[in-house]
Amino acid sequence: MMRFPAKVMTQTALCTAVALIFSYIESLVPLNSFIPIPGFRIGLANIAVLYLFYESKLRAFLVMLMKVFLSAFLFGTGISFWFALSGGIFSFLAMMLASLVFKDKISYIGLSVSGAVFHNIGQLLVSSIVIGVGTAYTYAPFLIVAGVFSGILCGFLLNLLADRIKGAIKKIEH
Amino acid sequence: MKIKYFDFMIIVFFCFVSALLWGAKFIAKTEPTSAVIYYNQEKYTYDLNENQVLSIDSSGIHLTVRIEQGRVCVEEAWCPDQTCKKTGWIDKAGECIVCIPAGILIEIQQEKEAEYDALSG
Repeated sequence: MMRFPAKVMTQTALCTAVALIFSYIESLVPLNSFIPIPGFRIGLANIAVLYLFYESKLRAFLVMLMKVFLSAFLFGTGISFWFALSGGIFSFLAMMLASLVFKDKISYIGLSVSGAVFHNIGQLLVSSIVIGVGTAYTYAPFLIVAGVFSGILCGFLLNLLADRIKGAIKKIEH
Repeated sequence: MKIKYFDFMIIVFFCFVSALLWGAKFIAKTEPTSAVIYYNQEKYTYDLNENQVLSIDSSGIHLTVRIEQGRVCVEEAWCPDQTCKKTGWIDKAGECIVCIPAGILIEIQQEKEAEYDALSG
């Protein structure tokens, strides 16, 4: 049996809640009126996944899945679920690969950028299936750059936050 | 955690890939002449130089598309996010307007026949 102590459970639940709140806040901000790329988002929810990433890959993956399912039920439309799921799985695989290849040679920024870029690539794949065109390709360069930008933003935030959050949690525990 | 050397490498790598994909579009560039609209798993081609207003219904969403003087835009869309409307006019080959809720893609393509004519003529 897998051990799932209270602390671990609370942490996972908290991270899921944070991810959901972030994706809700993002859905409120009409970012697309400033940046004319359909479907562009910062992906702040990935911060919660990345935060857990160094502690446990399994739990980070669970948070990602929960976020995708819950946000689809709460404020999604039918098709947005498949976009989110494919984006989430692609981004997670890319982050796994990046952390396996570069190990501790990258910070959260490298992880988050590769995750964000592949999140967009995953979504692009679904959109090319849904609309039935291989010419989603012409859109790819813009989405990759968009992924780099949002990845840098999230990674930068986590570089600043991660140690402080862990420090604060230690203080509470003692 | 501090930013590290390979962070920059990853960023530069993705920017490079993006630039490469973007540049590849311009290699075989000719005058765009047709607007291709994909919806309901079908492909419809329209002449860009012929001014017209199209009404499209797909997935329960109604779209009005205007073709005028070699460019295309979505004039009206009965969908909540209005992303396709905000994209505005497109007039270059490879540019596209996407409406995810309705599953519609409008793309400008260069006509293959025109290329052959230019070469053989």
